[in-house]
Amino acid sequence: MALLKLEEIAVEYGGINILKGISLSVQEKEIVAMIGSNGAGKTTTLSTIMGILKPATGAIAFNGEPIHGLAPEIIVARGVSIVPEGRRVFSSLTVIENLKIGAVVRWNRSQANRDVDEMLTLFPSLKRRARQRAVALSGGEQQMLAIARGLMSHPKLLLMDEPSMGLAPLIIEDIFKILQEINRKGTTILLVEQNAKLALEFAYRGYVLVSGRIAKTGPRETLLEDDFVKKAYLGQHDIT
Amino acid sequence: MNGLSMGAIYALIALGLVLLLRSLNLFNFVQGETVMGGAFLGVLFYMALKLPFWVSFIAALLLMSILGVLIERLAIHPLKNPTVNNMIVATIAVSVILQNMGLILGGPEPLILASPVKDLYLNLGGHRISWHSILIIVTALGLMTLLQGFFNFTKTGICIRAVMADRQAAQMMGVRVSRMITLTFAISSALGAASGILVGPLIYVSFDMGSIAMKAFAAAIAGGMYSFLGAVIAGFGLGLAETLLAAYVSSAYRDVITYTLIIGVLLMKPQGLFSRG
Amino acid sequence: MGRPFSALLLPRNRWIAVIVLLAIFVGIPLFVKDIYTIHLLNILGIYVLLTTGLNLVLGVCGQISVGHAGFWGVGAYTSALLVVKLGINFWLALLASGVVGAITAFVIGPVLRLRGHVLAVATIAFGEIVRLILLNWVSLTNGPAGFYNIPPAKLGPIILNTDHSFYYVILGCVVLNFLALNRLVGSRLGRIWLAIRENEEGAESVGVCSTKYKIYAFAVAGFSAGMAGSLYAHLTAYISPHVFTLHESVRMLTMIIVGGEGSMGGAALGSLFLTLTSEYSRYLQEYSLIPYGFVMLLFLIFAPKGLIALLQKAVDWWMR
Repeated sequence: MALLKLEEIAVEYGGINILKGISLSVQEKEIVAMIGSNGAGKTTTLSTIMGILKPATGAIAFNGEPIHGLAPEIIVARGVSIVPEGRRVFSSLTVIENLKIGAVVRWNRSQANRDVDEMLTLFPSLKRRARQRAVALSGGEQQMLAIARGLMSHPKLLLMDEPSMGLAPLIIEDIFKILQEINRKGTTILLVEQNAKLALEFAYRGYVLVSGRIAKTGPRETLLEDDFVKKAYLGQHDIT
Repeated sequence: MNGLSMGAIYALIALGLVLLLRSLNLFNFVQGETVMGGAFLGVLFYMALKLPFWVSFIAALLLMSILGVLIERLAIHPLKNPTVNNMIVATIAVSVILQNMGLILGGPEPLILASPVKDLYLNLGGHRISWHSILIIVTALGLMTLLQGFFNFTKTGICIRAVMADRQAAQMMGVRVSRMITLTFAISSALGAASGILVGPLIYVSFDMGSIAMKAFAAAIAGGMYSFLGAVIAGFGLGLAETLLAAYVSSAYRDVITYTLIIGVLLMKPQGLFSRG
Repeated sequence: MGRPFSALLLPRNRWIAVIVLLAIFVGIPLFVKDIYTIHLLNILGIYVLLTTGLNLVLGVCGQISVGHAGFWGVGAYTSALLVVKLGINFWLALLASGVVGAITAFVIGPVLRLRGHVLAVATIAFGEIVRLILLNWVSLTNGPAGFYNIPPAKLGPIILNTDHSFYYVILGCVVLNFLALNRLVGSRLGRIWLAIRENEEGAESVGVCSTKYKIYAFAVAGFSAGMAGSLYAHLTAYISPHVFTLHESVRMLTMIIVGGEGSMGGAALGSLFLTLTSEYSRYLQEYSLIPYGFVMLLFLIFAPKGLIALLQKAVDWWMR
């Protein structure tokens, strides 16, 4: 049974059909990538899984139970967590406070404090800035904070929205090493990336999203060799 | 000294305003009526029912918070198109309703709210300082400290700050955003009520006393609509400035000057004097 | 939001409907002898002048103004002063009041670069400053006692000192106002205003100086309000600062919300609805004003497009 399963999900926003019926699945312990250009609907997909957007039609199941249409707080409680596009850390809150928000649905004071310590150990650069406001952090540090915040709820499934955006290559390397480690420890990852090369080298499988529909899917080797994918997404490098 | 205590009142009201401005981008024109409500409840509990002052105080705050919740649920939340203009109009509408309820309940004549410390003065090096002023300042500072503690050390407080920083991200983390917003309304109303019951003995308690909040509006804006510290400083500043001006200008024109100052500040720096850029 | 130009509901037969409506209004004083009713209509006419102007600012240009009574007061006192102290005839004073109202908008011009809540607070401050000046500048305005015995208008040898006779003056102004405003809304100026309403920053980024156009909107509204002030002064023969309050500004706002933002006809409808309800709820005495705030809220929540949209739906349904 797949951990996450989307069936014919269609989503409208502002009168426009952004997702026109997509189906995908993610197995436990996998890393699955979703690639596609800007506006294809990648962030919309993640927002719909999180419950921020409600699908017009279709079903989403997590751990066998339907989660479409549920409120985000319930979905987070069930074990899904997101690292949003652009980090979206709470700039006026400190690093520690940001982490605590991540654990809001499983708040148990002592547990939360232990988790905070655990995260700070895992991310030493955050430990240095533990009491500083998030706004003072560099882009890479903010990304680490966003990831750590996402992990605070001990999610079974971690949704990552464009983690490489706006970051220098060395930092990106660090981040993906961390993601690999997280996956090794048992967290499933669904990764959305504009940087297709990066995404496909990291994931086991991939989905290609074009204008709100799944155009292609397959294991990473197949996609990396695929002509369409090569021409559309692998020929260009990110100009960041 | 008078200036400081009026300043404390303005600061409290302005704080309540900034709370809502930061979480909802809502300029709460009803804040004046929460001040009135607090004062009225003070009259009810302390004067009419003769309950001890601190009981009246807490009861007034609690009841006004409940009213604040009702207002949010019934007038703000249902708005299908919550544009800035619509929310302004909605709060103006509620303020009209409450003002008129105040008129009905209280009558057109001003009511009397006595201070628990009566008219007692303290003689300090030749200056007479009323105990009530001291009460106002102490209570205001106490409330502000409580708020600071709440926002920095409790889960809910941190959640509200997260909502103020980035509402959607907070939602994505599982924070119950609408509950936080309702709670913010409650706190904001409680602050208004506290100001009302504290300022009652100093000025007329009547259905239109909400206009005092207009000056606090100015302070909130002058301090930078989104800055708590700015609101507090501007509130105290306004109180002091007013007292200084009172020595030179008759009270009627004083209001004109206040309003002109408001416009002046707005023009010079629409983001307020203390905003971050 | 409502369409800016939806004064009438039957597009095809629009002109016929206008003429019929006009004929009805012209005919009313000839058949209705009851002074109370005509007086009510006169007051209504004045409010229509006020709200259609405010609608230009709020519904068409998207700027919130809670100080419109300020313009009204300026116009009323201008007219009263000109006629009483300088002996100027009513018609000139009427025009002058409009002009002064418009000039006031230019005077507060710099303030209009503000937006949103800040603008709302500034307009409240403006309204209050006007009221306070009227209240306190006793040597000029007679202060809280107000201006008594304002002489009625004269048309040649005819003295227009009854509700019935003055009715036509008001009607004339209302009609001219409607025509002028509709013209403006349909013009290039109107399109710029709409653009500002939709997205002020966006308009700025394509080179529109939004402050300038906002001032124009306020100036036009100020003109109408100034005229309304003059008409009010000569209708009631007595004005005082207690008339031109924040409360009145809020009432005008309510009329627009209830009638339908963005539509001149809506403003008129809203004025009608609220004037009638406040008259008929008089018997509620001190409770009379609560429904008024509730009405505002109810419309805001349940019928945000106002009466005119409801009416449109009713007409559409009836035409089926």
